[in-house]
Amino acid sequence: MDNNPILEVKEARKSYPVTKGFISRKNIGTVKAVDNVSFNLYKGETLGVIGESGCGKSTLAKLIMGLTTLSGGEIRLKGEPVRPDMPLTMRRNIQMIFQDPYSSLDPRMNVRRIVEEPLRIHENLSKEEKNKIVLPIMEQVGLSAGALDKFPHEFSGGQRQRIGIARALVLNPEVIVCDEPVSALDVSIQAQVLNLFASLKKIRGLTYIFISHDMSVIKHVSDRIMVMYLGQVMEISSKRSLFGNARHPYTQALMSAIPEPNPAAMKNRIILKGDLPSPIHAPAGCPFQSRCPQAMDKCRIKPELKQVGEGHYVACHLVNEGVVS
Amino acid sequence: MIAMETILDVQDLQTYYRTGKQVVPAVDGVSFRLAKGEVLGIVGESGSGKSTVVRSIIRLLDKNTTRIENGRVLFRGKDLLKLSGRELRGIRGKSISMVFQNPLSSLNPVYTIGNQIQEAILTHESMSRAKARDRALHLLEQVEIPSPELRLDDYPHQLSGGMQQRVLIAMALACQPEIILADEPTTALDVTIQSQILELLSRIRDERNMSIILITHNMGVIAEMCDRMLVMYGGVVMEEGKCTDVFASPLHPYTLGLLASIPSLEEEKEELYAIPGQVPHFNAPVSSCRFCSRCDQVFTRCREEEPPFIQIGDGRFVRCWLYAQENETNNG
Amino acid sequence: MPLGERRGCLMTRYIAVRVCKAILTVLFIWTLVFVLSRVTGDPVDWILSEGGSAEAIAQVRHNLGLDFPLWEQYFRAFGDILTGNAGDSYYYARPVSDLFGERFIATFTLGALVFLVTILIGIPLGVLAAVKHNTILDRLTMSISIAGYTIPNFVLGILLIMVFSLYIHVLPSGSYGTAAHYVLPVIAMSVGPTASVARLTRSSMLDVIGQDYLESVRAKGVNEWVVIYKHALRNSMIPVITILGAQLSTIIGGSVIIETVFAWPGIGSLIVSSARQRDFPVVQFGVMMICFSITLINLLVDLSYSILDPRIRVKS
Repeated sequence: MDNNPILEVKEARKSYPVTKGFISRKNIGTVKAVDNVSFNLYKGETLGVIGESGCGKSTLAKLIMGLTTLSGGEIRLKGEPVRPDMPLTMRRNIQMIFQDPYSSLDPRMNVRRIVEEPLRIHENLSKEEKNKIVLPIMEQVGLSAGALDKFPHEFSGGQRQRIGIARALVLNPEVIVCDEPVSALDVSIQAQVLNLFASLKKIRGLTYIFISHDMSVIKHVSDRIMVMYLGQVMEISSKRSLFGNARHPYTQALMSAIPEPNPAAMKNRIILKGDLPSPIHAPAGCPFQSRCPQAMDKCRIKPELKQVGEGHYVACHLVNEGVVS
Repeated sequence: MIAMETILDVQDLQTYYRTGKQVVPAVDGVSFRLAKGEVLGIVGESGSGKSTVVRSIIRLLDKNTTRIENGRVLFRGKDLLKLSGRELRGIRGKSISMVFQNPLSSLNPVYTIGNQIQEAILTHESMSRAKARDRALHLLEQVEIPSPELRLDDYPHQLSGGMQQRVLIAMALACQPEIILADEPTTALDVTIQSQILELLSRIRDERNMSIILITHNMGVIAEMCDRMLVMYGGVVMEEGKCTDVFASPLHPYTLGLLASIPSLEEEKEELYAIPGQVPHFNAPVSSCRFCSRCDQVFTRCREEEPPFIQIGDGRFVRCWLYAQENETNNG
Repeated sequence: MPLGERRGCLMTRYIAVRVCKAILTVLFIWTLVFVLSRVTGDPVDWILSEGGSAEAIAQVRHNLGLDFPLWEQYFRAFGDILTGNAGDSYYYARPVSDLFGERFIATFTLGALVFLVTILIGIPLGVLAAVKHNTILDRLTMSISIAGYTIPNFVLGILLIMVFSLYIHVLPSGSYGTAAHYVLPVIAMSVGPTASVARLTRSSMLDVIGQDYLESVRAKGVNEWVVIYKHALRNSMIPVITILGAQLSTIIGGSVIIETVFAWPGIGSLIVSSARQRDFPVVQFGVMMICFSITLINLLVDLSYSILDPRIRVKS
C-alpha cells in the first residue's frame, strides 16, 4: 500500500429535506442520510462498510460514485474532487456493482451490449478492439464468450452478477464500489462470487469498497471495516483489530447478533431492545443511545471519533472512561 | 428423543408444479416426523422445495399450477390431505398456523392490526368483538409490542418491519396452535431485529411447548433455533439428523459444501469452498442423484440411480451412494 | 398532538383541499359555458325572426338582461343559477327551474337504474372472471364485455328499438310512464359501463389475488368467500371507484343522447332542443347542473379513496 490514499472522504454529508403538506410543501426537517463521514481508501485494499437499514451505506456509495451532490464536506479521487459533473476521464476510474442482478441489467440488451456499453460511452473503438478488451474479462469473470450473444433472462442470479462485474471491469477502473453484491444470491452461489472478487483483486490489483449488511461476508472480504449507524461512523478499524477488540457497543451487538452455523458455540448474546429509529427521528447526540445497553447521560452529546489503537477509531463516550475493554 | 409424542407425520409427500408442458417435482417424496415441543429446521437454497413442503401441509397452494400428487400428512391421526375444505379451514390458524417471510406484504394494508388479529380469533371461536379485542391486546403484549392498546388501531404501514413480524406472530398464536410453520420469518429483517424475533419464537416455544417447523436458507439460524434439521435439495431431503450431529459431522457432500461455503466469523478462510455450477432445473421423473452434476465426490452410480434415504444412526439419515455399501442390507 | 387528533387534522385538510379544487372546477366550467353561449349567435335574432325594429330589439335585450355589461351578466347569471332562480326560458317562456323540475325525475330514475345495474352486474362479473382466471368462464365474460363496450350506446339503443319494438313488439320504443318504458334505455345505457367496470374489476382483482396477505388470511382458516370479498375486493376497489366515477359522468352526459333516441322526457333532451334554439337560460342551467353533479361525483370519488385506503388517510 502506498501512502497516498486513492480516495479521500472528508466530513462528507448528505441530507434530504423532509416535506409535508398538500398544496405548499413545507420543510419540517432534514434526514441526515450521511453525517460527517471521513475515511481514506488506499490502493489495493478492501474497505468493508457494514450497517443495518437506514445507516446511510447506499447513500455513501452514491456520493462516492458522484451520482448525487454532497451537502457538505468533500470526496477526492486521486486528488480530484468527485462531483456529478466530473469529467469522464475521472469517472472511468470508479465503477459500481449493484445488489439486484435482475433489475440492474436491461432485459432488452444482449450481454455484449451490456458489457460494452461503458466502452461506447468512454471510448471510440473498433469491433476488434472492443473484443480484445471484453473477451479476456469474460474469461476472468467465469463466463464463456458464447454468453455475449445471449440475453440476461437466460442466466441465473449468480451468472447475472458476473455480467454486472464484467461491465464494471471493461474500463479498467481502480476502485469498485460493491453495493450488497451478494445479498440476493444463494449461499453456494454467494461463495462463487466472493471468490471471484478475491481473484479479480489479485489479478487486477483492484481496490474495493464493499457494502453489506452481513458481518460474516464483510469479515471475509475486508482489510478494514467501517461500522455505520443512522448515517454516522461508529467504529472504523482494521479487520484484525475490530474482531479482536470491538470497542463500540453497537459493533459488539452486531457481531453477537449473527447466528453462527455451529450449535456448540453458545455465545453470550447481546439482544438490543427496540427498533432501528427512522433517520428522520434520529436522536440528538449519539445516534445509538436509544438502543444502547450502556447508554448514559453523556450520550446526549455527540461523541467524536477517537483513536483507540493503530488505525482504530471509535465514536463512543465509554472509550474515554476506559469502561469498554 | 426419548418417547417424544409425534404430532405431525409427513409420509412420502410429492407436490408437483405444472408450467406449460413441464412437470416440476418441487417436492418429490419427502417424509419426516415432528415431535411435540420440537423445533424442526428445513434448510435449503431457492428451488429446494422447502417452502412447498410446509405449504403442502396445510394445502396453501395455487390450485391452478400445483398439485399434491401423493403422500400423507398425519396430524392427530387424520390425514390433512384428505380433509374437506371446511375441515381443513378448521385446522388452519387453529391447530396449525403460519408465519410468513415478508411481514409488510403479509398484512392487509386496509385493515387495522386489531381487526386482523380479531379475525384470526373470531374465525375459530365465537365470542363478542369486545372480548376478541381484549384477547388481541393480550396477544400483542405477549409478543412484546410496546403500548399495545395504541397499536391495535394502527394500520400495518405505520409499524416497523420488526413490529409487523411480531403482529404476524401474534396472529399465528391467536388460537393457541400446536404447530407453527415459520417460512423464512427473519429473512427480510435487519440482524439486530432478527435476533429479537428468534428469541421471541424460542420463548414462545418454551412457554407453550409448541412445535415449530422453521424454514430458512441460513445455516446460522438453524444452528441457533432448531433441535433437528432436514437439508433439502431439488425437492428431496438429502440429510436429516439432530442439529448437533449434522453440524458436527455433516455426511452429504451437499451439506458439507453448503457449510464450507459460508464465510465464518470464527476462523479465517483464505478462499471459500464454492459448490460449482448452478442449481439445475428438474423434470419428473428424476433418475439420478439430484446433486450429481455439482458433487465433487460423484461416481457412476450417482448418475444412474437415485440413492435411497439411508439410515446411519439414531434419527440420522442421508441420501447418498457414498454411504450405501455398509448399510445396503438394511434398506434394500 | 395525540394520534387521533393528528389523523382528524390530516383528514380535514384533505377534504378542504378537494373541496377547493371542486369549486375552481365549477367556476372554470361556468366561464366556458358563458363565453361559448355568447359567441355562438344572438338569441334576439331567433326570437324576433325576420328583423324587428331597433326599439323592439332593445326591448327584448332589456327583458333578457342582455343589455348589462358582459362581466355583470357573468356574475348575475351565475348567482341566479346558484339560487335556482335561473330566469325564464326564451322559448317556452316559463321559469327554467320549473322546466327542470318536471323532467328531473325521469332523468334521475333512469341514471340511477343504469348506475345500479353497472355496479350490481359489473363488479360481481369482474370478480368471478378474476377468481376463475383462465377458465372458459373468464374468457367468455371478457369477450362479451369487449363487444359491450365497443358498441356506442345510441347505436345499441336504435338496434334494441328495431328488434324489441318494431319486429317483436314486446317493449315500447320510447316515451316514459311505465316500468316497461325503462327496459330498453336502461339496457342501452348500462351495457358499456357494465362491461368496462367488469374488465377493470377483473384486472384489478388479478393484481390483488397474487398478494401475500391473501395467503396469510387463508392460513388463518378464513373461508374463500371472505378472502375474496372482505380482503381482495376492498384492495382492488380504488381503480374501480375511479372508473365508476367516470362512468357516472358519462351516464349523466350520455343521457343527452339516449333521451333523444328514446324520446325520453328528461333533462338531456331538454338541453339538446334548447341548444338548437339558443335558449341560453335553459342551456346554461342544464350544463351547470351536469357540471355540478359531475364535480360532486369526482369529489366523492376522491374522498372514497381515503376511506378505502388508510395509507392515503394516515401517514406513518
